[in-house]
Parts: sequence; structure tokens; C-alpha cells
Amino acid sequence: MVDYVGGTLRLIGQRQAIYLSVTILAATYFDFWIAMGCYSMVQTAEILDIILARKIQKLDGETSTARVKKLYSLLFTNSIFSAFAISFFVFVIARQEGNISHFTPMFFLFAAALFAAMNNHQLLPLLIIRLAIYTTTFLAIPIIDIIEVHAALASQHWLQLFTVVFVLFFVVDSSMIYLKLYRSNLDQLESLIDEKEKATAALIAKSRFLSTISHELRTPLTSVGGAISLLGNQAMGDLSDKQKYALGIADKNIKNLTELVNDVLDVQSLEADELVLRKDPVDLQAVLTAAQERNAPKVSAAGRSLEMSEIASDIHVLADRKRLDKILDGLVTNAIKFSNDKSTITLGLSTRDTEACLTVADEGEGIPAGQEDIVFSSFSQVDASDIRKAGGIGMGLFLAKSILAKMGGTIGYESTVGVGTTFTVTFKMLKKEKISTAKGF
Amino acid sequence: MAELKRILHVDDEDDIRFIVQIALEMSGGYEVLSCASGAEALAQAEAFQPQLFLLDFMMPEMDGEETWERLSALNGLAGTPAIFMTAKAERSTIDRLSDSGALGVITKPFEAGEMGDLIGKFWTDSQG
Repeated sequence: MVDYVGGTLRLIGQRQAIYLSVTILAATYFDFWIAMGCYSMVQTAEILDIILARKIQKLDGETSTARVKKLYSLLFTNSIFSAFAISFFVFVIARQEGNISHFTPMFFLFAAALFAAMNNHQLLPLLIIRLAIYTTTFLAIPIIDIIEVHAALASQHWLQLFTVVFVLFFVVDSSMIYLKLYRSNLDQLESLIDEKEKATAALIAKSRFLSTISHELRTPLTSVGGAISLLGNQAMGDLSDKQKYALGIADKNIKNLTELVNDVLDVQSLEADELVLRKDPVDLQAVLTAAQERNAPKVSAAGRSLEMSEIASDIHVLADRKRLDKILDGLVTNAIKFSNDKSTITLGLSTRDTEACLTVADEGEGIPAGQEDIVFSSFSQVDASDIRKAGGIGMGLFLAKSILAKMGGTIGYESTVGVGTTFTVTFKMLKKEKISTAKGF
Repeated sequence: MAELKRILHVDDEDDIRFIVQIALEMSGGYEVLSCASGAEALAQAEAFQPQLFLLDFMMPEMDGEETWERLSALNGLAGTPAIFMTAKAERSTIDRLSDSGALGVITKPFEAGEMGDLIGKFWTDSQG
């Protein structure tokens, strides 16, 4: 019904143009006042139709069946009235012509029937009643002629009747085609909606599963990590060097595993839009100095050196400090993974217009051109064979990009294969006067 | 400032109870009473008179918040502070617990070795 009235409202202009041109033709070539009278009848039906259509659109999914039924029966009644008005118009023109061939009125009626078939097929009962009224008029015009002139079977009048029957079949056939087309469109639409609902449900299920799994993993991780930590602190007795070494392996891996579980949980929170970030004024010079202190042991243990260059001072941005630290640590870890022994990793802080840029540069193997999307997508690393060497499942940069975006920052890189890669984290700088006010919170 | 000695720990996981007990007794020199459920804690708390509750947030039957509420109704335990431990580490959960008056929230997995220092810090912060 909504589709039907949608058509009613959408095609107002077309219908008005048709009514007006028919009326002008009829008023010019036949009786002016009769044409005007019929025009006003047709217009009354039209106005009622529009009012009803608006009311039905306002229902908007309302299911109170009594009201829907009432509007439907009103629509039905008005369809009969409208079809009668049009038929009457045509019939009157035909009668004015006398017992001749009714080329003009018949074509008017044919146009009306075809218009109904094309545009009013959504509600089958309405189409049937409308076409039935048109059919009656179609047949009545030549039949009245035949009766009035007592026409012989071989006369033009009979030929006209047979032609009308032929045209009627054509109109009914067109209606059926439009109806089938409409129904198959409806079916496709329904199956599309169905598919979309299934996909959404699957996404929610996946998200819940990830959330549950990562939470469930935390308890055993705590136990294992706690037991390792207690043993490692030698709280439960002294350990031999070999035991310490073995325990160190367990300790390192439980920490990696914990990071991984946290990453999975973050990805899930991001997808569900539940990740909460702080936005505090952060001194980037302090961030970078702390990052160097934190990462220096890890970098030198891996046989590379960590340096600082072009450190601009007194630069503040709004960010979540803990998350920013973690992102920088991740970038340094990546730089270690993808560079060679005895190379240098350089941290930098510079400004560009109103932006602050934190950089982590390595002298590693570089990233081939055109890989940006892959580098920042979840669960991927540029070359799958690198995973074994580099470790991890490559969620770090995906998370970094998503989290930075939430903080109002960006991340990008410049790379030359064989020379090295520089990752740049960019933030909009805080204006000086805003720092003190923001700090007051 | 009262020195923190007696901690009542409630967690339904046996392993976690063991690790927390060892960690706290070894590194902090605390006296720890471990209970496997809120009901068990309610039965033993009055006799132990803890200065601090260390409560797992998610437990079957009685959760951490309810346990705290009912423990506070016992003789001599009104106003005893609590620290929560949770695996549900979303900031919203942590904020909600902090707002409800908890001294602190420790997210699992935690570093067992740092447990004593962390609890000591929460305690001094609240006293100062």
C-alpha cells in the first residue's frame, strides 16, 4: 500500500499534465462545459487520492489494523470513483462524436488503462476494479453504436468492437508483466534485507565471541603470569641459571600473549565503538624522552641503537598518554623487527605548520610501494613469510591508526626499500593559552 | 596513619587466591585471609577484622560489589575500603567502580611481583 501511494504522490505532475491536455483537447474539439465538468470530477478524485496517500504515508509502519483497513477501503472507493470519472469523461466524448469511429476517446481510455497497468499494479484489487470499469466503458462505446445503428457484422462498428477486445487483452497482459516485475523486485529486496540482517547478526556474534574469549583468557593468564613472577622473584627459593633462563622464556612469552589478548580486546572495543580514550594535554618532549628510556634496553638487547634527533620543545597536544606510549613502543618494536643488526633507530619530534610530528625511523628493509592499505589493515603483515621472523599477527599498526584517529591524530610512513622506513605520528598542536586552562581540569 | 596489615581477599579462582596470598605475604608482609566466595567472607570477616577488602569483581552468586556492601554491614567493618580486581578492563567499568568509592581497580592480568607495592600505594594515597 505504501508503494502504491508512493506512486500516487510521485506521479502527480504526470497525471495533471495528462488530465489538462485531454481537457484542453476535449474543450476545444467537443463541448467546453462538458469538458470542464468532467475535468472537475477527475480533479476531485485526484485530490481525494492525494489526501488519502498522505494519510497512508503518515501511518509509517503503524499496525493498528482498524485504521489501515479503513484507509484501504477509502482508497478502494476513491479508485472506483476516479475510474468512473475518467470513463464518464471518455464516454461523454464518444457520445458527442455520434456513431463514428471513436479514435480520440478510445485512445484516451487506452492511455488511462496503460497508465494504471504501469503505475497502479502494486495493489492488485485496485488495479482489477479500475481495469474492469475501463473495460466496461471500452466495450460499451462500440456496443452502443452497434445497437443504435443495427450494424451488420461486416461493418466498421463490429471491427471497432473486435479491435477493442484485442487491445484489452494487450492491456491485461501488460498489467501482468508489470505486476510480475514488481513482485520479483519485492522478493529481491526482501532477500537483500534478510541477508543484511544475517550479516549484522554474524558480526555481533563475532564481536561478542572475541570479547568473551579475551576476558576468559585473562584469568588463566593472570595465574600463569603470577606463578612465573613468584618463581622469578625467587620468593619460593633460589633458582639455578638454567632455571632462570627457562623461566625468562616463559615470562617473555606470557607478556607477549597478554599483549595479544589486550590487542584483540581493543580491536573488539573499537569495532563496537566502546573504546574509551582520555584526551589530556600531553607534553610530547616528555613523551619522547620517556619512550627512549623505556625502549633503550630492549633496542640495545636486540643489537641496535636508539637515538634522538631534532627534539622540538614545549609542544603539547591532546592525547591519551598511556595509549600514545604504547603506540610509540609498538613502532620501536616494529623498527627492531624489520631492521638489521647494528643499525640505528631514531626518535624525532618536529613541527609542521600547526601540527606536531613524532617520528620513529629505522634503517631496515623498507616497505614496497603501494602497501599502505595492507600495512594498516588488521591481521596482516606485508609479507606473510615475515611473520615467523617478526612475530605477532600484525594488529599493532591497525590499532595504532584506529586509536590515533579517535584521539584526533594520524599515522603515516615514508619508506625506501633497502634504505629504511620512517613512521610519523601527527597531532594538531595545542595553542599555548589552552594548555594552562586544559591543565586546570 | 594506620599501617596496613590485614587484608581480606575474595576470589572464586583457587589459583589466583594462591598467587595473591603468596605475593602479598612475601613482598608486602601482609596478613591475608583468602575466601572463595562472598558467603565465606561474610562468615569469617568479623573475627578477622580486615583493614582492606581485595575483591574479585566477577564472581558467581555474589559479585564483588554486593560482597563489599554486605561486608560493610558487619560489626566493626563499616567504612572499610575495598580494591577491586577485574578481567573486564574497559575504562567504563573501572570508572564506575572508582565512582562507587573503591580505593582502586586492578585489572587482570596483573604483575604478581608488583601486587604488594600497588596495594601499598593505593593505601597510602587514600590515607594521605
